[in-house]
Amino acid sequence: MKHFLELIPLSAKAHRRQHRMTLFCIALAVFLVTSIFSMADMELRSQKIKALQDYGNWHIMLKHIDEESAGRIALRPDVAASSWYNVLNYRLNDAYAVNGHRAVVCGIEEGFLSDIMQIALAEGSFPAEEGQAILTQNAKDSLGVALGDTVALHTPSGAVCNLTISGFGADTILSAKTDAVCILLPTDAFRTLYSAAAQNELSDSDLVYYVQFKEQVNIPACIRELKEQYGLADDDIAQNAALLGVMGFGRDSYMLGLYGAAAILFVFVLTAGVLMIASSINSSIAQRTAFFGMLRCIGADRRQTMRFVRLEALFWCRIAIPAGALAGVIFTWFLCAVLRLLSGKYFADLPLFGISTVGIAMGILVGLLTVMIAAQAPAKKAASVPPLTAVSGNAYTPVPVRHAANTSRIKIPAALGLHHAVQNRKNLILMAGSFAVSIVLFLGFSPLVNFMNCAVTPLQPYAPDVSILSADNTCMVPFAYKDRLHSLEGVKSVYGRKFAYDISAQVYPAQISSVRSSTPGSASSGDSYQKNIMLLSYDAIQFNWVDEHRWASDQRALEQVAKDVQEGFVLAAYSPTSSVGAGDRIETALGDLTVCGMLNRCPYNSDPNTAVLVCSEALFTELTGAEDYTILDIKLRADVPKETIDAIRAMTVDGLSFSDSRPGNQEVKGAYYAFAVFIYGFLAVIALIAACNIVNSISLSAASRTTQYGAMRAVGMSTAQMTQMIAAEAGAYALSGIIAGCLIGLPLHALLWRLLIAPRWQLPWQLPLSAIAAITAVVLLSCAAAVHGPAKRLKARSIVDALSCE
Amino acid sequence: MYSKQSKGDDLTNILQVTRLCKTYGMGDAAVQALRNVSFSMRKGEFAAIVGASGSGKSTLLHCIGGLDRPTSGEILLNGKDVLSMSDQQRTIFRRRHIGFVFQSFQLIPELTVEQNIVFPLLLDYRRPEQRDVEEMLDILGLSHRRNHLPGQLSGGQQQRTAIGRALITKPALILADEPTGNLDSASSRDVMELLHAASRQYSQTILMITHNTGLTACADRVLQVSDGVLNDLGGTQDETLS
Repeated sequence: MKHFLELIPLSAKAHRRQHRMTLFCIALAVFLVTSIFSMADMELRSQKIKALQDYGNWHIMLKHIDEESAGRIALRPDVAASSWYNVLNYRLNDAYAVNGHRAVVCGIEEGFLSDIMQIALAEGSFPAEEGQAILTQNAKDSLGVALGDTVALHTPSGAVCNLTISGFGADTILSAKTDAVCILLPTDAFRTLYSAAAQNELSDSDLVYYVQFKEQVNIPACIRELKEQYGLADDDIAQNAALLGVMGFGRDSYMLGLYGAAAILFVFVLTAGVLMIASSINSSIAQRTAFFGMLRCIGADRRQTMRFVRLEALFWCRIAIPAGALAGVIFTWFLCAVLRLLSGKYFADLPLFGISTVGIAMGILVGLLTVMIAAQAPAKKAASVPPLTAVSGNAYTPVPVRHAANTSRIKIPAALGLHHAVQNRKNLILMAGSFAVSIVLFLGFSPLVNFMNCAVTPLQPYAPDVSILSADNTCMVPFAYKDRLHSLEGVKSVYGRKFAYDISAQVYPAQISSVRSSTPGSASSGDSYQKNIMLLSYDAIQFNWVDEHRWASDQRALEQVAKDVQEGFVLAAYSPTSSVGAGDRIETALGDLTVCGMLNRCPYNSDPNTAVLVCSEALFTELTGAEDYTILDIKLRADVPKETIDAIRAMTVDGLSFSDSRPGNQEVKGAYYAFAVFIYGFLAVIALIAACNIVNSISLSAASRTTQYGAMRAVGMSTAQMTQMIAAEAGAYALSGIIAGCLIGLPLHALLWRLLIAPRWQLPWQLPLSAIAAITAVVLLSCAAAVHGPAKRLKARSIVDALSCE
Repeated sequence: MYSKQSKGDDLTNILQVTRLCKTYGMGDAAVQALRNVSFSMRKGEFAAIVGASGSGKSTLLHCIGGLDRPTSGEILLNGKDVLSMSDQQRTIFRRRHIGFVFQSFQLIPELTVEQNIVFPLLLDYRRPEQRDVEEMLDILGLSHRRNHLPGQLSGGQQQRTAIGRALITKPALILADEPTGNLDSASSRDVMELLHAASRQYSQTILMITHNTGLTACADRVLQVSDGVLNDLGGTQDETLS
């Protein structure tokens, strides 16, 4: 031993058990920070994957540039890839058709598929010869064509262009949803077609140039440079906001919000970490007062003692920080696995065993920072131990007791436990405060769940996988199809709706209609108003969803409408722009209707001047005479055979069309899961902080009273009574922590609600009962676990050992 | 509460210790703290255990009190085999039949003098008889301090409170581990007088460890422990020990 500080590892070895809790606290803080930052990193990666999948791997899109400029841009050293992209009939308004199927025509370069959109051809290759084209995969089934076949593209001008299929590409969301065939032509071939189309003044076509920059390039600077160099206006450059946002270049409010949330959470976690580690080191110092007295006694000055404590804390970091970082990495792997399990196709590119350098670096940095901050106060405390302490042998002086415990009304174990909790106000405030920090964190971040539910819509129960719909929105999907579809293998459910549009109606608001019904003819037509309505029918399945999800304002009204055959009972879909409400009477040419209740969620939009009314199928038929559907939605099982899809597609004849929503649904699900795992992951981590903090605090409190508990056991206290005593103490801390946490957390929740949710969705603040219940359950369960540990340890420890614990 | 009895009225053995052994550690590191210790105590007897530090006195006391488990041997207290009891049974037995007095008092700092005294009864969920409590406080000379917390008392008063706690359940045996070790001479005298009175006047069996050979004068018997071996030095302390 050459230096007095070499005592640290020797002391650590001797007091391994005593220091275990401090090690655990440091490891926990590092784990939390590593997890949070790794999760944020993974969220950014998943957002990047989403952005790449949704919009492609391009950074800017240039309009109104000539060939020469495009060529010069392509040669820039900071440009990784670029391609022309042209499209005709994107909105399917024009008569481009292939073998009778609507068609979208795109002009692309080879690099557009591979570099910009990162799509590999399912079959074949890029057109190498004139007259060749790539078709989307759905064309194979709908047109019954194969590689090398020739198809005829009919243009609105009447020209026919024969194309040989050189390859098949993946379906796009558009092609799946509309069942339109997408034809990809080389740019030159497309331009021939385009110039012919341009003569017909097609407004739905455009020529754009996509640019992908290399990594590590300052994209905003490049954009400024391009604007200056080529005289481009703001409107001539479109940015891939989603991708630039996740790369940290964008001004996307979601990403900025995400960074902001991470920053706030970082501060909270740092605070919680400092509190947790400080309390642990404090306790360790308090239990070794005699040791520090001895150090002072044999000549260590205050500065040396402080140095000893600080270095001792850093010595713990040697084990705790790598352990915490490793646990954080494993936790992140677990979350990635959950994401891939939930939506394997969507998150296929998310690394299962991804390592977040940022997460690990932040974990290490915060670990060191918290330990250094947390060790300050205990170091001062240790330095202030008088040397006399070592001589007097008074190792651990409990806080002086001012009031006696109340044993007259409460049984002795509970009375003592409660008294232990409340006797020292400072300790109570610290303990309740540390519990409250976690509760405040939880309540503060729970509005993000509501934010997620508003901003990222989960896949609604009414979202179909595939649909058969009438091309002209009339009721012409045969009623008999419902049973036929049901009988197909892999079909989970079939539900249909009938629509009647643009019905002119006179609306008599509730108070007028009541007067009117009591005294017919008394209301003037000036009190009522004219309104266009859209009437649609729900079948039993859809009414069940309304019932299950409580989308109807009134249960009785829902039952009335669902069973109605001829009374004219309807539900009105809520819309901020519609004044139609419950009790209103509506006169139409079809018949009189009564609005029995409101429907607060309806997936069918209409223009602001049109009210949406929902009735039963029977009433719809009674009013309009229409038996058949406008749309039949089909939900499929995951293992649906291809034959079923072919059979459904085959049913779409004579003005019917087929729509496949599965790719779009997959995207919605993916986006929701990514956000949900991130938010719930955060909340789980916060709950974990609460749980560990509680377990740690109770354990330390119990450890500090080991001698006292030993004396109590010596004079006859049983293990069960000792457990009751610790439970009462933990319960008192938990209760005061919950009250304090709610008192601070609820206003914070309301504030965040006002900032995040109220302005955008006009939802009034509600008491977050489920969040309170969840965190209360976490606190109480943690308390139960916290009591179990020390009680078990004290039971296992011999009374003699406990008595000599000083 | 306590009726006066003359010494020797009841000659039954309250405590019977037979071939008690206690070994700490294993192999080469094994330390034999007690080696075949056997002795007995009659009701109302006041015995003192003397011996050098580390001789095994405290180990013996802890084993008899059920705080520690011997390696082998037998302990019968009031005819009950202490060692064959389960942990819970031994706790309840200790609460009802053994009183402890520690050198460092070991009072509950959150309880008043009165609450500390009745603490073993409260653990047994028994309502203390107010008359008994008053009598005990009176005997201990702590009536005027009944509502004080231990932190507000002198060392002597704290130890008297601890003696009150040990006596309140009328235990078969009181085990005192250096009861005067932390006290000044006046307080030590008070405490010894109390223990002596409990033994003489109330036939309370007391086994006391002490380093202070002067205090063995109060004892009926002196037992010496040396390297884990117990020697009965017989009657009242004599010159050989002084």
